[in-house]
Amino acid sequence: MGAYRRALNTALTFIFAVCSGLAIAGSLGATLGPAGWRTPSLAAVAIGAAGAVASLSAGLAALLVLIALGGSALLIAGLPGPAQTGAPRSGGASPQRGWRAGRWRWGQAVGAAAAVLLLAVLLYAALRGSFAGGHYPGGWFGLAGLGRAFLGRDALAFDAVAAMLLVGLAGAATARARR
Amino acid sequence: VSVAAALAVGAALLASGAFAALRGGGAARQLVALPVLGAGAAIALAGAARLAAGRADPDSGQELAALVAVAALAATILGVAWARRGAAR
Repeated sequence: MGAYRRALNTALTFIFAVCSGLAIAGSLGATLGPAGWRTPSLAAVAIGAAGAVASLSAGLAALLVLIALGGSALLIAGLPGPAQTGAPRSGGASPQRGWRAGRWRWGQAVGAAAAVLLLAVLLYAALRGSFAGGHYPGGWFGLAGLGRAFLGRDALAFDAVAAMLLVGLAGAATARARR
Repeated sequence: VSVAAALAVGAALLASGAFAALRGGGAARQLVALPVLGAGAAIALAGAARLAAGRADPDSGQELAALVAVAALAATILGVAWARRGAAR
């Protein structure tokens, strides 16, 4: 029993590491790479995040994460490129275009500094925080526990997120009808 | 896997999503932030639930991870519709 548990822990740790690396690489590719990388990178984020969550004994949550993030990736893949959405392009000749490109570079620098600061604060909290380790009493998929939480104890939160999804779909339909 | 490792992966994804949101460069590039932020929050919440949960409440982290992912999908639907409308004008 002990050897089986050790082998299972090693396998889950390996799966978590691979899926986490895939998700982080995908997020960097979607953020920093060219527009053609966006869809495969977001698909990598969805698969990696779902795999990492599944390796944490949360099978149902992983399935929902895969559906939600995969759907988001497909939606973003259908968006037009930067030329149609008004993004500044480098190499402009007019002073106004040059000013806009300079402002965009400033925005990039501020965004990078803020992201690095956020990463430092979160990593400090994760690595230096004294979190209590606990034995997880649930199963590997979590269907019964999540069902009880969604439809019983936290039904209001479940309804609120369902309403949010409904508002998103209604807003998308309205925007499509006006176009 | 330790809880610190799960939180560190979540932190890396959250920082990457924040950078995508703050960087600019068009609606499509900024909307990338929503699923990436959702992925980071989901991993951190599921990791906290699995590895640092009290016996009294083991499922809240998993539940919140699923809700955060669905909320990210809802926000992405609205954001994509908004961006498409702006591009059509």
